[in-house]
Amino acid sequence: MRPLIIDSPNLQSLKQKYLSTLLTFVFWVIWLYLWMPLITLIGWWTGIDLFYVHMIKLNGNQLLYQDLFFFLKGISLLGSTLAIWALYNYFRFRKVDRRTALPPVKNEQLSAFFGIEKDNLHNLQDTKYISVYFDQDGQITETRNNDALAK
Amino acid sequence: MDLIDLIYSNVKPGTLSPVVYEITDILQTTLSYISKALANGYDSFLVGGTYLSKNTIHFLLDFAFYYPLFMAYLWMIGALIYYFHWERKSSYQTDQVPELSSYPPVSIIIPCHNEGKDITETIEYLLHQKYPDFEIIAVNDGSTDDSLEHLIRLSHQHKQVRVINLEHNQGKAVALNTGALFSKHEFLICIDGDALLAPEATAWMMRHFLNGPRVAAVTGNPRIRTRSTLLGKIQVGEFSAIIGLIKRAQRIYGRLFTVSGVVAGFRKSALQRVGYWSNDMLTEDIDISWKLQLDHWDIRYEPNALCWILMPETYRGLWRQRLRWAQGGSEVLLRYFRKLGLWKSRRMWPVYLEYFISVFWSYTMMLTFVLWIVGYFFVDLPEELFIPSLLPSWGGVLLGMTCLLQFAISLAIDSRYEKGIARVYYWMIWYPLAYWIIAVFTTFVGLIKALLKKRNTRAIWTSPDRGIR
Repeated sequence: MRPLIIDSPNLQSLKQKYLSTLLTFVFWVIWLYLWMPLITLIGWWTGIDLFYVHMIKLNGNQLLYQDLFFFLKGISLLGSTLAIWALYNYFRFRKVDRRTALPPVKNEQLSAFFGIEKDNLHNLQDTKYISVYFDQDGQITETRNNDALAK
Repeated sequence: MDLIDLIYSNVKPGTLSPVVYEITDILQTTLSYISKALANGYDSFLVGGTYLSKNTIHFLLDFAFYYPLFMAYLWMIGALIYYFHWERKSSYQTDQVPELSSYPPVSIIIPCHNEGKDITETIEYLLHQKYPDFEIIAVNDGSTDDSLEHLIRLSHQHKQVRVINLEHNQGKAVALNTGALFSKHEFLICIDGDALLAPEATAWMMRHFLNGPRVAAVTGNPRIRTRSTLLGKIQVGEFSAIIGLIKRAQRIYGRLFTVSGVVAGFRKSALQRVGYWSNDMLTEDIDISWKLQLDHWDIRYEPNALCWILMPETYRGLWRQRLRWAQGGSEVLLRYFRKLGLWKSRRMWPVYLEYFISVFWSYTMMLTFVLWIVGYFFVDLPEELFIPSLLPSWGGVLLGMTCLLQFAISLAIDSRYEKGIARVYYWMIWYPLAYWIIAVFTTFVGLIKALLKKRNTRAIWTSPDRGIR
């Protein structure tokens, strides 16, 4: 048997290898690019006077706080809605199960639904090897018990 | 300063506008312009139109940016609630068999279409289920390879194995229906012909059926086997960091978008009530999940029921699979649209809304992208249609941080089920970005295909790409 986890990069074609490397590189660059403002900020920080001008004098920090505050508000609103909903469901349904268990499906129900004779169905449910034929609409037209054939 | 400049300017720390105020503002202004237009005639209506289009574009841009970000947090929060409520205190480990109040017999159904390469491994692995009484029904769906010969041989070797041969390819839904019809037992576990079900999985799933009479289906935890390529590694992370989080969060909403077709257990009496699997839907798993839940049944997620699966490792294979999922989702969206208007279907609204908004979002992204390309490379668009840049400023940092946080949380939750999973994260810290990009394109095409599909067309399957082995 093959191992549960199949990790054999050597089976890749050369094209696959190059393409994977390229894609990983491109997306890492994009991902790192997302951090540009932070890198810029660190740049400003190292030139303290510029940082002071932009962030304190020109109120740049206010804009940053506004952004963060808006995000936190949004996330808290979403998260607390979900948490309240979960709590409501927990307390409402903790001890209630209004649906009583249905009895298992009977062969009468199955044979009526699938249009197959009940005795035949009962017999086929104990068969090891069955052949089934269908019409254009996926309805069963014929069934065969192949157990005798298989032996 | 203009809102768009603030959000998308690349150097200064920008501000991110409160979307809610914007919506109200747009609505109020629209109403006032309509009333003015009615009073003053055509001229003022034109002015109103320009204002409206400009603000609508701004709103759509905000929505395009915020939606995936907020969804990521919603999934994370939902998954954490799930974890603290159900997973953290569990006294069993995944590889332990939970003790059940009783052990009703189970029928395990495996629909197979051209699975000759894998079916012996699948069935021999299944025989190790740590469960006292089960039968295995392999449904050969008109395979053109040697699947049937393998199945007949296996049925001779093992008394639990039975074979149903569909003489012509009928599709997975009909194969499952036929398996259910000829199965002996009330509880069914359905797995794909190339999947390996962990020996403890049946007991883990049965726990839910025995505890809850409302439970119609239990979906397991698919784990990727094929990890040789970048795509393989990415999917390992994707299933734990995105799909696993979504399933947990949806359990907190109360309803699941879908069971995993590759591993799910069903109560036959529930299937009988809803008329079993539909043979005209591209993704029969999404459809059956909706049918059952619209009939007020519960669907549970059982992360301990592991199932090891093969996934595509070529770009074409992945695209086809994802397109199929997206088209299947859209088919369900269209088919059950009317039923959702009913008050009694209200518990499905959060899941429906989530999917509906994500389809709308994909189209918004596509529009933004097209406008940006046209405006940047080809013609000077009017100011209200011009997209200055696709790259966000401080929002970008938040996106990057969100990726990190999402993986950290999924890693904390998921390492319980698989040791050493952290290794794959090196490959995919950027993946949530790619995930959303793939979603844009597949959803865009998927909805169109679903709309153009002829009604009642039978869904006959073709074998997907199963990775390199």
